[in-house]
Parts: sequence; structure tokens; C-alpha cells
Amino acid sequence: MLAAIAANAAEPQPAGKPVDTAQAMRDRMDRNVDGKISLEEYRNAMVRRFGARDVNDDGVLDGDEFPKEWLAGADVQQATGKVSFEQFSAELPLVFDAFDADKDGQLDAAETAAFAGARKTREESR
Amino acid sequence: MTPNRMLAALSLGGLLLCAASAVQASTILCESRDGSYKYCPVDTRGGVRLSRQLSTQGCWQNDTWGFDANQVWVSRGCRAEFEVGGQSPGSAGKGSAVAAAAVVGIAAAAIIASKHDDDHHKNKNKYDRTYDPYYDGAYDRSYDRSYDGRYDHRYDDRYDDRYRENSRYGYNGYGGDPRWTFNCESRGDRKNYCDVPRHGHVEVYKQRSLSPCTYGRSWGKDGHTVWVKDGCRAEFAVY
Repeated sequence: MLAAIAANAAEPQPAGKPVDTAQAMRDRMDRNVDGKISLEEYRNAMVRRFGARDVNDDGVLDGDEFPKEWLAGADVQQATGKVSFEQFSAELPLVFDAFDADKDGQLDAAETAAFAGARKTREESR
Repeated sequence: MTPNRMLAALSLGGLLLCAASAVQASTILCESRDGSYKYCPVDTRGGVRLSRQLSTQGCWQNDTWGFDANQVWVSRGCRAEFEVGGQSPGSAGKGSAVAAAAVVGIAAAAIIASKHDDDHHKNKNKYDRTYDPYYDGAYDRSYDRSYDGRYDHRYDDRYDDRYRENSRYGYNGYGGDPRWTFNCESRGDRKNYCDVPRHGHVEVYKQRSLSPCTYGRSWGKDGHTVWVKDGCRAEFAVY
């Protein structure tokens, strides 16, 4: 990434090149381009996703709105298949803290990689 | 004890601790309507924490929200609840004890990574990685799909949100104003690069081409440069 900036991205990248998960996540969430994800960046990104998912605008993701991928084995959610915005909001800092290993309020490269890797692990465990 | 229950127990413990240590905390609602500044008078000496964001319009401290000695302010569509006077930064909210059992998303992935999830095998709408050019790769695009399973750039943070203007997540038609816009165009199959004129989060503001401008496919961001290809032409916004 630094190299790309230095070269002003003058050289086209190979098409179809796999994108590093953590870096792609940073690209999308990292508002201040510091290479790290703050709780604020994370919160804004996730609230945005919830809002976009909630098609009928009732503050609850259920039925087709409910992202099966978000289940992640949570017993209650598997039973009910829904999550409220309140629940979701309350989870956000807990989720973030779980990955903020050094508790500095930022997900750095390694922490972002762990974050991304956790999902990949789950994909592979299917 | 399952990992879920453990988390639930931990959160419940945290909740009780919070209740004991932050008795004087109060929560206020402060909402920017129509994108204008809103000032919410309150004694902020005990600290202010954004406890729950209600708008999909961004809430960014010292940008679209902030506080001084006697008020909290919000702007540009940020709507949120603020905890005032709470000493404990760990008070994740009243819903935590319940929500902890309903672990959402990425955290759950890590916490229960070792737990085999048989139900996913039955999921007909299962995420198909073979269609995802970003898989492994994989920034997990499952977060970025609409309810019918297609990738949807409206998930992009700070995407112009007017399509949801009257939703509970927006407010009174306010969709948010970019601080800066610039054009970047790919003609034919040529890839083109454009400098982002200033710091900030970049999103497609208005697509000018019939060819789709889809993040990660026909446009993207590399540091302070935006690239477009496959005929994507758009006005981009910097927020």
C-alpha cells in the first residue's frame, strides 16, 4: 500500500489479483487513511450495513433481511432468526474490543488480520 | 459452558459492574435534522461518550459530533444517544446481556471459530465464494450483500443515503453532504487513476456511466488515489 502511494499508483495492478482481506477491509472502513480501524470507523461501517439491510425499516433484521452469515452459531439467533438494532448496537463495542488485543482503541494491521481471519476460519469450518 | 454462554456471563458481569460504578451517568438524545447543527445543552464535565448511533449518516467525533463544557452538538445528519457523566467506558449498553447471547457477526466468528456450525450446510442462500473475486482475498463480502444476496454498494460507508431519506436511520430527507467531489472516468476498458483531492472517505456520489461502478470491481481506492476501470465514470464524494 505504501509502495502504491509512493508510485502514485502509476502502474496498473494485475487484474484479478487477490486482495488481502484485512487490507480490503481497511480500504473500506478506514476513513482517515491511517491504516487502522477505530471503533468509530467500525461503528459507522456496521450501522450503515444494518440500515441498508433493514428493508422494511422496522429496526429489526428478520426473515430475508436477516443475514445468515451473521449467525455465527449464536444459539438465540439461530432460534429466532432475528436481531434488533438495539442488540446489534450493543454488540458493536464488545466485538471491537474482542479484537483490539492491545486495547489502544484501534485495530491495527495484525488485529485487522485476526479480525478478517476469524471469518475466514469460520468459512472453512463449514 | 459454551463460548456463547461464557460471553453472556462476561457481559452480564460487565453490566452489573457498570450499574454499580456509573450511577450518575445519564443518556441524552441529540439529533441533527436536515443536516443542520443541533446543540444539546448538558453538563459534560463527567465526560461524553457516544453510546448508540442511530443514523446511517456518519457520526464522527469533532467532525459531525462533539462537545464542549455545557453542550453536545451534532451535524450533517448524525443522530445518536450520548452517555454523559459515565466514568466507565465499558458500559456497552442496557441491551448487552441480551445481545451477548445473540452474538453478531465478526466477533462471533472469532469466539466460536472452533464450533462447527451444521446449520450453515442447510443454508440455501449460502455465500458462494466462487463468485466472489475477493475471496481469499476475502474481505468477507457477506457483510456487503443486500437481502437478496447481491453485492450492494449502498453498504459503503457514507454512500449518499438519500434513498433511505425517510427511514429510521436517516432523518427528514437529509442525505448528507460530501465535503468535496471530483470526477474520475474510465473510457472503454482503460483503467484510470485520479488523485483524491483531500483526506476523507471516498464513495461514488453520482454514477455517470451505464457501466456499473462497483467498489472493488470497477473502482477502488489505493491510499489517496482512486482508480476506475471497465467504463465506470462517476462523480466521487469525499466525506
